[in-house]
Amino acid sequence: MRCRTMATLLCFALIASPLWAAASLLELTDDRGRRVQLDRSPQRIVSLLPSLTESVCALGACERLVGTDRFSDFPAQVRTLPKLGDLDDLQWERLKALRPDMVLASKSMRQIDRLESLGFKVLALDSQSHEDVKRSLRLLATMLGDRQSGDRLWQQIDREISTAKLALPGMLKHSIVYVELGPSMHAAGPGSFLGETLQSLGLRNVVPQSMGPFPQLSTEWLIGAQPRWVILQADPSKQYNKRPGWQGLLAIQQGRLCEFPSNDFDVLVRPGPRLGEAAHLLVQCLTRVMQRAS
Amino acid sequence: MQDRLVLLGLGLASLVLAMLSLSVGSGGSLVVLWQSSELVKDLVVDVRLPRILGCLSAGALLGLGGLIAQALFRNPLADPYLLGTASGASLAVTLVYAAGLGALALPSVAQLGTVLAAFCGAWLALGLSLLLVRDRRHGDPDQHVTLLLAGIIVALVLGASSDLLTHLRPELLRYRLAFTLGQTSLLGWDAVWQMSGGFALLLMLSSSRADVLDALTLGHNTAASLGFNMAREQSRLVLLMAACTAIVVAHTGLIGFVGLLAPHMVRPFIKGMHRSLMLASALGGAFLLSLADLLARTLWMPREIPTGLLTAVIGGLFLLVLLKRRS
Repeated sequence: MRCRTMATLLCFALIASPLWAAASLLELTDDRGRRVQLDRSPQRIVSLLPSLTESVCALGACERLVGTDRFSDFPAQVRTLPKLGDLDDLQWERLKALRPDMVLASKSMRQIDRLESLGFKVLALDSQSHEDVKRSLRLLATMLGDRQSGDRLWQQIDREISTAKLALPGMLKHSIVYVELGPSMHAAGPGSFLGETLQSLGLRNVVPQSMGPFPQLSTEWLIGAQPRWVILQADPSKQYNKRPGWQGLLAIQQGRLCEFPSNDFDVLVRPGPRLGEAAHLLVQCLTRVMQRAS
Repeated sequence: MQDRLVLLGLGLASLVLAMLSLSVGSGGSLVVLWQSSELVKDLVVDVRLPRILGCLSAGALLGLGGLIAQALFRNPLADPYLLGTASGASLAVTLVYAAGLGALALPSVAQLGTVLAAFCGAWLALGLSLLLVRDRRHGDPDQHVTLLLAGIIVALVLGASSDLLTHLRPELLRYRLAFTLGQTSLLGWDAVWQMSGGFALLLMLSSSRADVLDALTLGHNTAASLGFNMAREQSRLVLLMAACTAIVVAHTGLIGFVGLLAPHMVRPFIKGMHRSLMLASALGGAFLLSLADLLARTLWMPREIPTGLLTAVIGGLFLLVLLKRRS
């Protein structure tokens, strides 16, 4: 009698098991360690970070985007999408009206809590290093249904960086470079993704590892360090020339300065699928300036 | 009798404002409430309604806290953030963000969430201020001044700590700024329950202390001669004020001027004593914050401005009017 009951229960369990398996087709773990379960691959995606927008498009799912943040502007087709502000001042009602089934954001707590309490599925992704980009691409590819495409995209980025490294003239190898990220002299340290790109290209960073990924430098310190090259965002009014002591930099005196217009600078500072293009931009600018100087 | 009319008027004004806010969306759409579309229901119930109710409760708490602060410190420019609670909450939130992003990465601290952090930070800062005045003579008539000074010291020191943290980790700046400006865009239903429940409780507790507040308007010595245990009453009032602040700050960040203005707004119209003043000030605060929130959502549609910015502007204008009226 007991055997029969056990057998019946076992049968039921076996019959029901496909239901358990199908219950959540996709289980993704984001950078908070939170598990997000999806029944199917998301079809209406909102991205709140430009690098994530670019990643989704690079993975071939641009048409699934229904809304982005204010700063997403690449590729061109995302410019027509509704802009929802950014994490600091999100347009909650418009977001709700778009009915997304997935929201991609960076790891900022309060807004993500509110998003989840409103019933949205959120993937919070880090973007500080090359490893972060690789992991994000893999996660996004899994989310979109084709895990391999993430790895393939990363290999392509890797190849582009290697090609850029080969294109770097021998004279420029191991030059010490200072990359300025912001107007108050915030530098890209070795721990940042830009710093890692510099390292991959065979260039040295004026900032040591101990100072962290985004240290704020002083002109005094910089003059002591005397980087060979200065890379920053182009400013038509050349505000940086007015900094006291700035002219003491040999790189400035001898014209070893790379200024990037804001479009190109965006490519440099976005940790997304255009990392390879960023590497090429750096090499091209350095080569161009070097040839002009000689 | 007139007081009751004023209270009723304030209540009605807040209600009308709330209804108006419900029908105006930040997406630029004027939503008609009886539209039965699914999306509208979702929008209103999930996003707009808790936000408006949250503004009403937060404003009420700030109004109540402001009234207690002004009576306690005998100063018309007092606001409920005076004892360092604002700086404590700000530092706690910055620390939680620091723990959540990057190197520190202590998941348990980060999971605690900014709401709880702000709440605890406010109380810890208050504790520090109270600690600094602990060994004062109990009968000291100027104890409230000493307390005020202690609060200023705590605010300065904790503020400097936050500044140092954001200097070392510049990526924390925008989170700290968002908190300091104050925002009502993140108010959900849990915030509404916590704040309205808190307000009901604190209004009840404060009403029982209304006599002390009345007596304090006559000065410390007169109040003491009326038989109140000034030390104990002062501690109670400080705790009530801090409770009002901590609950609001946890959910909205530092929204300024509402606590300062609400009592001034209603005082000319209320003839009675603090018992009516409390409710009036709370209603005034609710009205002010809801107005600021409505403007914040609609002035630069579809962008939203942090509500704290608008309360500062409205606050400044109101103070100007008050100043003109005094002279």
